Amino acid sequence: MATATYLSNPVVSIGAVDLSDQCTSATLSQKITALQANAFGSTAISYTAGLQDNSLSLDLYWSTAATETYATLKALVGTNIATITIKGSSAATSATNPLGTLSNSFLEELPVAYTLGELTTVSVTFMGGTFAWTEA
Amino acid sequence: MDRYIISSVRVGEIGKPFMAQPSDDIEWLLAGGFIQRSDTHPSKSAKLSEKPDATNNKKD
Repeated sequence: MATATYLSNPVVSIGAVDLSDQCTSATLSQKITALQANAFGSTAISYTAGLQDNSLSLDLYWSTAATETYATLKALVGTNIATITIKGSSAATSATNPLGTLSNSFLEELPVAYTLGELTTVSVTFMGGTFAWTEA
Repeated sequence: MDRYIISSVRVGEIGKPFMAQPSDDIEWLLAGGFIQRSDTHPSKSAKLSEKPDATNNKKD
């Protein structure tokens, strides 16, 4: 039974640029492709680890002011981003507040959503790259 | 070695030196206006074309 309430207020940085105050949602997927490793004689499906297939999706407000979302992302489409980091809170990195680092992921598109009467947003997905958790 | 100053709160405190990490894309940060090159390099002393004691204004 859950005994604590977790208020999600993560910190997201693209390179050295902290975009947390423009971000409303972040979905991190640490994934390793499962490869079937069966052979004659197998009686059940078994898997072995394939390649990493990580991704990080962010929902951001599309601010075009200086050094905001537009300025940060406009030059990154079609490129590999050296590092993107995310952690659950702004507290120091620790075993209970681990820092996730996605390295050399690819940004394929910048789909900006302009909707009448709503704040403009962009939902980006950084695909691929290697991922690691840091606890210190 | 180039020095950089933070010019956006997104990378730190404005006006403080930017300590670049090996993974930082400096050109991207400069182009986005997040940092700027420091113009506070200690300048070299101006070189004189002649040594001060080699002038021709001799008083006699």
